[in-house]
Parts: sequence; structure tokens; C-alpha cells
Amino acid sequence: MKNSSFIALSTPYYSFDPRAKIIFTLLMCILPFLPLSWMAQCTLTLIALLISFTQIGGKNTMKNIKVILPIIILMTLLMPLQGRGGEALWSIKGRVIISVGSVISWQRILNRFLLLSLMCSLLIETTKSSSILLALRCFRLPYSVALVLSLSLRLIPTISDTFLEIRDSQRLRLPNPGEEEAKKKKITSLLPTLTSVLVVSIKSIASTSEALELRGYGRNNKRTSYRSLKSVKKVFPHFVISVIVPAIIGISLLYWR
Amino acid sequence: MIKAENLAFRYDSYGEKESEKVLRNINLTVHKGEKVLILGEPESGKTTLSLILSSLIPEFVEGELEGKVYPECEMKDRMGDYTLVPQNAGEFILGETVEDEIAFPLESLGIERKEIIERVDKALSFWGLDALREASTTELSGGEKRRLMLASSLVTNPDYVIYDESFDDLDKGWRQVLRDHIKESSEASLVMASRFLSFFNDLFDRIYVLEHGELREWNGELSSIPIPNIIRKERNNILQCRGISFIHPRRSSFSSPFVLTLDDFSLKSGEVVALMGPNGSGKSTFSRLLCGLDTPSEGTIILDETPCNKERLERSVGYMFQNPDYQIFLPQVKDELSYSLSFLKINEKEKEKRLSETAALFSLSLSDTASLMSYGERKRLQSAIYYSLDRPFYILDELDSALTYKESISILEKLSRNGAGILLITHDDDFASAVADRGYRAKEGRIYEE
Repeated sequence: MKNSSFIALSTPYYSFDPRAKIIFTLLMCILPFLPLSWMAQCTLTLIALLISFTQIGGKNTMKNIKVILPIIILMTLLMPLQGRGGEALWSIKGRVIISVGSVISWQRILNRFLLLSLMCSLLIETTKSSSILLALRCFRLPYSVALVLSLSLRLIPTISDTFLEIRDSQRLRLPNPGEEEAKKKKITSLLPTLTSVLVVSIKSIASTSEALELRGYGRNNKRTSYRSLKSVKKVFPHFVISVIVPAIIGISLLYWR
Repeated sequence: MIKAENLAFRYDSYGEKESEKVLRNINLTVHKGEKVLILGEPESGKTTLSLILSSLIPEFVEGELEGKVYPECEMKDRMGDYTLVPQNAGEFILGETVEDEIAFPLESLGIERKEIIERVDKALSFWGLDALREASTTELSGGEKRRLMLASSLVTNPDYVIYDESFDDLDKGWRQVLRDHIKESSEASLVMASRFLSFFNDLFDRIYVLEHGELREWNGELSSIPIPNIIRKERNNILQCRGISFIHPRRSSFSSPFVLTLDDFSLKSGEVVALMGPNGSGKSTFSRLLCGLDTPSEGTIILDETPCNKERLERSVGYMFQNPDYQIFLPQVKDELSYSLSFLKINEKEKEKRLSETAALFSLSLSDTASLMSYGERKRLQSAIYYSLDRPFYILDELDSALTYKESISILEKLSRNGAGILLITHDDDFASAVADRGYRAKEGRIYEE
């Protein structure tokens, strides 16, 4: 199965102007850093989840969460144990194991991490990378930086594809039924797969440079663009929504105690 | 004009072995409108020569270059007039979608947006990529990637084009389209090729042969390479498919999902069966089902009269991927071959014996570093790994691509010597008819016996 960051659907967020989407994503990502109560933090994450569920569907949202699940589990296992000061939530023989403060700190960081991941995934999965780059260039991002971003956005799914293909092909190297030793080895463990991915990826560095040269990257003339964005006048309501919605959410949550 | 004067090239060496000169004393001139063919076996230096003529060597590849190449300026500065259609299409794609990839060189040339749109539309239509215009470039099949590479290279309307094995991966119909384009266009075409010679009759003004690093003019007839018969032993396994269907959605575009259907398929021990068909017709999708990497939505895969699950298929059908690098991940040849043997219930002495026998059979040196070996050697190592597993069935995905007929047949012979049934995926009619007992054809997602 091949991967691509963009998912073709037709929910309202897809028709949103990419510049407005970037502003919306940035403002939503700032919100969890406001002095919010833990309830407000959780509500904010739920709002982000709701937006993601309605715009790219439950299956794709869960897939995005699954990708960051190992980090969430690690955070959940380790973070509450770090801060031992303050009011005790769980103690053994008077020794604080988990404090209230450390749990609050864990939920705050977890909520921020989840919201940032969900909003950024939503932006990438509902907007073609060429449109994101065009929008970023409207915000005066130099072309060379935009191209690096574009190649990165293209290479992430490519490397992910390579990883899956290598894992599949290595799975096919297991012995015939009945010929295996009693002690089974795990051929599809991460290390051999990552080694192959690394070899294939390193080999692609030279060909990417050659491809850029062949396609005329770095010429002295001014570059034109195949894609274009609508004039700001035409999509002005998008910009208004992208500012107003996060503002309303932020103000409501700030005053929710 | 494209011109090489007294050209010689040696790649930088790694490790103890000093690399030999890949090219020696090459003199070649291609004038405007001329059609020139350079024939050579895989790894004879055709790609190196095409990269030098495109000024990509020595800029991006380290090595020792002697002689002169004209024009002397960098490729990016002459891309409007000169272009290279590279051999490894997948590695040269930069764009996220098909249309973005085709538009990229036009944007670099600073062409007005209106004209870019017109040219992109025309290229998409000419190379049959209309339905895929918004598809992600990672979702394309090998043949679709090749057509995309042709579209994005030729969209600038260059005067000089170097085609490096561009007929590879294309099905018969698209090979004809490419042949017609070369014949009818006013561009000067320098074609590097190792096969599909029957397509080249009456097409070229001059033909050269690149052998042992040297170029010599060829005035003889073009004919397909004679292919010997392969010898096979009997075994008693049978792999069958009944009423298979599989839906493969395209995630990145609105085009309808790819559906594969198959009523009946069988592969017996000792048989070599060819699977042929146009690009994107479902050959690789079917292969993934047959070796258990994907599960059909409907239908049954039967091994020796028993319905077979995914796990059993994975261990009974060896699928040799087109790219050997996906199956090689350990430092030395010895490590790679020992790894497969280490799973088996056999003693150390027997393992050592099998290891040296396998290496000798496939002409491999156990101490060689796998990632530094040539493509042909890596392909031989990949085959040796599967040989040591002794599967009852093998799927060979374009084994003949980038290998000589002789090498391909040698691998086929070795894999089938224990009576394995072989499904051979190829675009080469001559090769298929010479080695296969019968054939299946894939067309628009339907697979049927010919």
C-alpha cells in the first residue's frame, strides 16, 4: 500500500484557502500555551479531535494518533514520576511517588502535544504540499526554503513507503513451513529494516541533486508558478473565520474556571 | 550538438579494490535532428556516459574524468535545449503530484502560467496520464513513472534528448508511442538501450556498440538475442487461485479505486509461466496477493488442494522484488546468505557447506560488501538468498530488467533446478516466449490465461 500525506476528500476544510488554513493552524497551536485550566486544556484537545474527525474522518484521525501513540505511552509512563514535590497523589511510606503537580504538568504537555500533532496533520492531509508552499511564499518565505520544505513533505511518505516495502520483502525471507528451528528469530525486527531504508535513502541523495539540476533548479531567471492562489479579496471570509474561531475558543476557555 | 572527445572515466574506489575505467577513449558527435543508438549490455557504461553528456558527472558523482564534453555549460543552464530521460525514473521524481512534476521544469524556465497549463495538459494527454494528473507520484506503477519521466523531460520541447533505457518498464503499446515520437520529432535523439532491438529497425541514422568501455560503430542487422532453453526437474506442488477480487484505493486523488479480478489461475511445480500486460494493469497487485503480502477481498488461494492463509503463502511463494536493495540489509555477502540459513533446522557443518555451494553457484565472493556491489551482482545475491530458501514457488518481478538475457536465464535455471514453479513478470515478449511454458495476461485489472 502506498502512502501520501494528502488525502483526497471533499469536506469544507478542503475548500478553505491554504493561507487561511496556515493562520488557523498557527492560532490553534498557540491556544494550549495560554494559562488554561486542565478542563479547558482537555476541552481544547477535544475540539481539535472533533475538527479532525469531521474533516478527514475517524479512520484517518485514529491513524494519526496511532503514529504518535508510542510517544504518548512513554510520556504517560515517565512524566508523572518526575516531579516529586508538592501535594502527594500517591505515596509509599511517606515518600511521594506521584504528585498532583506532576500529573497536571503531564496532562498539560500531553494536551499540547496532541493538539499540535492533530492540527499540523490536518493541514498537511487536507492541502497539497504545492499549495502550502505557495501560501508560505505569500508570507515571504524564500523559494529555496520552500523547496526544501516541499522535498521533505514528498520524502516523508516516500521513506515511509520504502520502509513498508522493505519490511514486506524481508518477511518473505522466512523459511518454508516446517523447516524452521525451534527458536524463532524475528527477521522483521526494526534494525535490519531501518538499515535497508538508510541505504536506499542515502543512495537517493545523489539522484535528488541530479534531478534538481536536470529540472533547472538554481537558474538565474525568475521562476514562474503553475499553481496560483485566489486573490485575498475573494477568500476574505476564510481569513476572518481563521482568526475569529480560534479567538472565540481561546477567550471562552480563558474565562472558563 | 552533443559532442564527446577522447572521453574516459573511472569511479572513485572504495576499500582496497582499485576501480577500473568504465569508459575509454569515447568519441561521439550527435548533430541536430540526428537519431543515434548506443547498444550495450547492462552495466556496460551507458548510464555513466549519459550522465557525463548531461554534465551531471563529475558535478554530482565522484570520479576521474578525462577528455572534453560539449556543450560545456551546466545542465540547468541548457535545459531548454537539452534533456536527459534518466534510467531510474522513480529516483528522479521531485513533485508531489503528476501535474506538479511535469510543470517543474517549465516553472524553472520562467514560462508564463497560461502556457505552462497548456503544455502540462498536452503532455498528460500524450503520455496517457490524464486520469492520474492529481495522483501522488508515490502511487504510480513502474511504467507510469517511466511515462511521467518522459512527459516531464520532453515538455520543454528540447532540441537534443538523451534517452537512457527509456523503453524499459513500458508495455508494447507505449514502446511504440515512444518509437513514433523519436521518429517523427525534429529533436536529435541519443538512445541508450540493451534490449527491445526489434523496435529499433529503420529508426536510427547511426548505431554504436558500447563494449568493455569502448564505443565502436555497428553496421550489422538488429536482431533479438537468441535465448537457450532452460532445464527443469519435477516436483509435485500446485498453487491455484479461484474467483479472486481485490480493491486497491488511490488515497491521494479522486480517481476510482483500482479493482483486480481473476477467475482461475494455476501454477504447477516445474512450470515457468509468464505474466504480461500493460503498465498499471495489476501484475504487481496480483503478485502481492499470491505471496501473502495482501489479502484478497473475495476468493481463495489454494496450495496443494488446501486453502492457504497469508502466513503459509509468505513462506511458500518467494517474491523477488524488482529492486534488490529492498532485500539486502547486512554488510557482507556471507552475512546475507548465513542469515537465511540460520533459520533452518540443520547443523553448522551443513550450513557452512550450503553457504559455500550457494556462493559458488551464483559466482559470489563471500567477503564482498553487499551495498558496494554492482546491480547485476546485487541481483545475483538476491537470487542466491531465495535459492537457499528453496521455495516451491517463485515470482520474479521483471528479472530481465537491467540484466543480460544470459544472466536472467542463468538465475531462472538455478531457481527452477529443484522443480520450483515460476511466475515470470516481464514486458519482453521475446524473453517470455523463449522461456515460458504458457502465459497469463493482465488487462485493466483483469487477469486471464492466453
